[in-house]
Amino acid sequence: MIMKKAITILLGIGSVLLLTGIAYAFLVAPIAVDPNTGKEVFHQKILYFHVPVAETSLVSFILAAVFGALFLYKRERKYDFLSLAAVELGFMYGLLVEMTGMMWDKAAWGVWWQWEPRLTTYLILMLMYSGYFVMRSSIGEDSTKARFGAVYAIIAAVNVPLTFFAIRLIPSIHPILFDSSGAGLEGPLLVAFLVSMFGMTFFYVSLLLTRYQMFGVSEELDILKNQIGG
Amino acid sequence: MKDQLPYVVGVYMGIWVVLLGYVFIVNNKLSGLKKELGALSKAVEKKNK
Repeated sequence: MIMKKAITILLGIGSVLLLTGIAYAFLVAPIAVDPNTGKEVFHQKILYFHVPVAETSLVSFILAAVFGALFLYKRERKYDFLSLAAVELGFMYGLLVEMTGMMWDKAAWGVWWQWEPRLTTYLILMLMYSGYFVMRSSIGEDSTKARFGAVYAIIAAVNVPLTFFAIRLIPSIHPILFDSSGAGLEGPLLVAFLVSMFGMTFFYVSLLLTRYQMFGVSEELDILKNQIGG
Repeated sequence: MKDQLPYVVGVYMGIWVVLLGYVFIVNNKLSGLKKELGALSKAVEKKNK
């Protein structure tokens, strides 16, 4: 009951913040200007949702690795559920990143895809995590599935920092936010971004807890089914 | 600005559709599972009596 309340509150706060972020981005934040050409770049509005979704997906994959490590250490089933939920959500957010990223590419660069460091490393990351689901579904026994899943989540997470730092280490046309010179956004642009970022985080946590709760109920159900069957 | 508008709208619409769709599907499935769990719990109680 407490969990349900917490999920509802988190979802509510997340939704309100996301809607506020959108309203602020379109009604208050001015249209950004390209410093090189001096032209207004309306597609920059994509950033207020694209970046929070991207950061959330990367954090989710890191969380999956942390829960995986906790599972290997403590051997408690709840950590496997949390790790699986985090990979699932990270993957769903990742698909959104790819989709919104392609729209950005088309609007900004005139093409749907560029083989530049960020897009390429992110694609590799997504392919790695799609293997996670294939691996899990190919194993029958639950404990082996959980153990292999945890190890896979830890190994795959190595790609997360590579993806994050790719555009900071290799020359790229992908825009960089938050480098050594600052946030890359100022005033209302930064406010709109941060509100969306917090909104997406609250939304994500509510989804993670819902999915986690679902795994728990499924397991209880399986136990009861076995009791009746036995 | 006009040529970039469809992409910006597409991004915002797409993200909302996916996120809200996910919330709807997961919550729907969760309430179904809880109902099934309640019914099975009663069946187990009866069997144990």
